[in-house]
Amino acid sequence: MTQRSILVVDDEAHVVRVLRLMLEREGYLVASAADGGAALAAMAARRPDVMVSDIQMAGMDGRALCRAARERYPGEPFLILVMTSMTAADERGWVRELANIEFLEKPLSPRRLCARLAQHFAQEESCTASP
Amino acid sequence: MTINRIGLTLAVSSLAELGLVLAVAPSAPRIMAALAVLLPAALAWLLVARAMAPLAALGAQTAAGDQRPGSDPRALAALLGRNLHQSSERIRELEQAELASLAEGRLLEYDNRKLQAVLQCLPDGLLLLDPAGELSFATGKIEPLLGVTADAALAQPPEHWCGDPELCAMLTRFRSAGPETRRARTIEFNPRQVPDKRLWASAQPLQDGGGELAFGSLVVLRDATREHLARQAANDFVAHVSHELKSPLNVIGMYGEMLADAAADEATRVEAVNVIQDEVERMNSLVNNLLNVNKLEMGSMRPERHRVKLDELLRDSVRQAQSRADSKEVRLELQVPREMAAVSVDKDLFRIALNNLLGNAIKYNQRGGSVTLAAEETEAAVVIAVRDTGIGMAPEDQARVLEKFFRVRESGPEQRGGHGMGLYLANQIVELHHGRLAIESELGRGSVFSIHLEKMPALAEGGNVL
Repeated sequence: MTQRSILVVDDEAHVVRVLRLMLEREGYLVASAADGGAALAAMAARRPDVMVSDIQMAGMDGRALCRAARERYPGEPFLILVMTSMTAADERGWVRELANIEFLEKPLSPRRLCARLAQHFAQEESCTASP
Repeated sequence: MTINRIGLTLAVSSLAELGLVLAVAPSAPRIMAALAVLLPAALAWLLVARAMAPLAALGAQTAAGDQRPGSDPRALAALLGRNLHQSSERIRELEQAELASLAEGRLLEYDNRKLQAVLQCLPDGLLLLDPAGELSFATGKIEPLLGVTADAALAQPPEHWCGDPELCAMLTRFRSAGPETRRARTIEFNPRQVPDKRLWASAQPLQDGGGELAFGSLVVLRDATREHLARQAANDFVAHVSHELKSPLNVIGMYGEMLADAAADEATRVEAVNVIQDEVERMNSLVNNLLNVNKLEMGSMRPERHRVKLDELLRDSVRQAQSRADSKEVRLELQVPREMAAVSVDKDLFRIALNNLLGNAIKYNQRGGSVTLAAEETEAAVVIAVRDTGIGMAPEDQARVLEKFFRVRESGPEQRGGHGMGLYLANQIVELHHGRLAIESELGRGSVFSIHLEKMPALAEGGNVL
């Protein structure tokens, strides 16, 4: 089985560090970026299976990154998990126009993230395996 | 001479004048001219005769040798005097009434002009709708607020001059609604012609004190731009502070989970404990700075300035920052001349400013780097400089680094976790002391933050230095 790749995008170096440690321990291939621009560059080099991104970042923020990713790779709607502490409904409306995006509440639990990723890949595999 | 004689003489003189006129004028024009002279003369005679009637009656009485009791010449003279007095009193009363009426008219005109001036001077724009809902009065202030002149709006239906749908709907509603259904209401909107403004428009029925007479409706337009911006700033502030508090909480939560993980090795555990301590310190510093900034902006932070020995204050600040410098492996030095002029500062506030400058210099430094706190005296000023060998700043960041919440974006892997309050607060405190905070910086080489304070005059003998 090929190693699944996760792209972690956050301008908080500590967050990237912890997620990298935890995800690598789970056997994922982890790439990271500190803003949207760097994430698009990493995506061009290798398309991730899942992108985990913050919203508030200097430079290109999470919203612009998600839109750009869907525009650039319309045939590859990989799962995007957005980390946010913005709980108001109107701050989440922008995702309706984009497919396959979910929110992860901050403070983020790496354990919960790992569980969600495991569930996602299990579903994918079951869909691929079924005739 | 009696009064009758006076009247006769006047009549005779008029007839004599008529004869004279007839003698010198041709026939038809002569008759016209004669009438022109005779009629005013006759009219004048009648008026005088009427005014003199009481006197004429007296004259006739005297000529007839009135024998009634009390009709002696002295009584008659007294009666004449009384009549004359009454006439002059009446004339005076009439003159005074005329003067009073004139003055009242002028006062009314003055009051009217004053009221107009007051209405035009009001900072708010006023629109008066008559009971039928038509615009009957508007002050000039509506032009800067709505971008419409009062002249263009008067006697026009709202849809002809009002380009703002919300206001137009409110005015139209007042036009179409009966007096009993007109209710006071307020709307807030951005006028289309002046889009950088935010306005409040309040409409209410205009009635006399007893509520019996309805004069129509009054619409007050108020510039609420400042209030709107203040509300926005407050919302932004809450959002920013929430984010700044949630970020370290997020990191603490994640490292906490990692610590709880049995699979974590010793190095990871040490890293987690250090990061958690740093993030707790970051939150503590944010809360302290927030409280101080709040005090500063509410105007309740008033420096209590005293003559202070600078070298002791600087030594104290270095002692406080030493543990942070040690944990980051940054060398901390103090360079203060033995003899220095005293400065007039609030020790507690100044310590916060120095602490923030030193904290920043340590935080944005590299392992093995150095921070120097130095002081020197020029002819007119005392200069306190915090020099570091840290990451430095690009010119565009230097220009903004003293702004509240501004954070320099770091390109390296290390995350320092500032919150954009420390330098802002330091600068505000220096300004409270009438000083100046200057910045010199070079990207990758380090920064110098210098506080320039005016020197105090020499201390009089026996003065206190804290």
